Amino acid sequence: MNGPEDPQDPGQYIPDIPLPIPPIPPGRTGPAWEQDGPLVTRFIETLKPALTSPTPFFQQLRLSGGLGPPLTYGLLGMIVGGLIGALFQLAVQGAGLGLGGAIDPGAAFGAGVGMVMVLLFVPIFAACALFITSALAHVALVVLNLARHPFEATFRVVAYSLGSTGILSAVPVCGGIIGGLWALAIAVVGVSEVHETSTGWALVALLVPLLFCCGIAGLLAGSAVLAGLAAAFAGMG
Amino acid sequence: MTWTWRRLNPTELDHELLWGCLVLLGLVGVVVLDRMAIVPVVLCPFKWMTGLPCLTCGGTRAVLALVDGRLLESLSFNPVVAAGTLVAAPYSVYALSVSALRLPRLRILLTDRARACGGSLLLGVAALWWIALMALGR
Repeated sequence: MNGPEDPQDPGQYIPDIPLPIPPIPPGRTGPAWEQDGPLVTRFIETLKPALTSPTPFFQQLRLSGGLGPPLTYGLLGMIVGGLIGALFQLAVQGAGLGLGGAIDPGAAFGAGVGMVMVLLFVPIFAACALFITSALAHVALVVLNLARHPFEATFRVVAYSLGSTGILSAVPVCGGIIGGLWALAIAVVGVSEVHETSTGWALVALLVPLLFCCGIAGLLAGSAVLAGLAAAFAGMG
Repeated sequence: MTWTWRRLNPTELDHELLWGCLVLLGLVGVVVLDRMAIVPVVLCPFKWMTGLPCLTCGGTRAVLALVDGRLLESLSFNPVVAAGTLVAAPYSVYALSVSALRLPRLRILLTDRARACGGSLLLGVAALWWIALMALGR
């Protein structure tokens, strides 16, 4: 791992000089979510092109500008979908509780506590899911030498994909499966457009993390460390 | 290879804060869940779909054993995840320290060749580890 100027030089120290701020490419103006306007309008105006025409959507996606806008969009889509799905489940449970005539107070209390836990933990799990999925996808892109832009670009693709399809979790029974497959399809298009690679390689990069899917704790710690290490390599993160 | 300790630009992503918090959240979460004895039993989707072990098979048990101070047992469950967790703790200390104190951060620039070699090495190690897991009958 030698430097390009001196092949024998094992490493070179660069003094503390901040990097110049990269300009925003002229074609990438960002989705409606990152423009001004009412929240609901911006969400719907982003949701529609992301779901129905992902190629032009990701062609105009900004590659930098902070994690805030894509994170809030992703969280909003996933939380709204998750909460509607949870409410549906609660309604089904409630109907089941009432079938026998008298409602069992213990079961009703359990269902209520479950709903409160969902309300509390859905945002946390959704945020963790966004960061972990993005980190694993970006590390796979780096390992496969496909990453053309920093981590933030991958995060934006994942956040807009999962946020747009997360709303499908509201559809009972099959919503999660359809949303998952749709999210994969959109993310493949997004990764190929943003990192300028083929859809085949983008699919490989997004499927490789499935090999690491087991183990919540190991996944959380491991992916965060990998992403942190990747971030240390300035060209990647 | 070139390395530098430098400060962040105002618009640059604070990786140390982000990943340091996530590591800390993960480790604290595991300890809390373990102490409350409510670590969920997770069915691995990859094993469910293919019948084959995934690369982090036994990872949750490895982390829990490590939390309890059973290092050898942790390594026997999954040495890669155990080693990763052992790296994770000091990393989170470094990451949160430099972020909180606004210190310069380590950044490493690799040549394309070095990056390709590193990627190939990682893929090779992962493939060998996967073969070993299957041979061990996990």
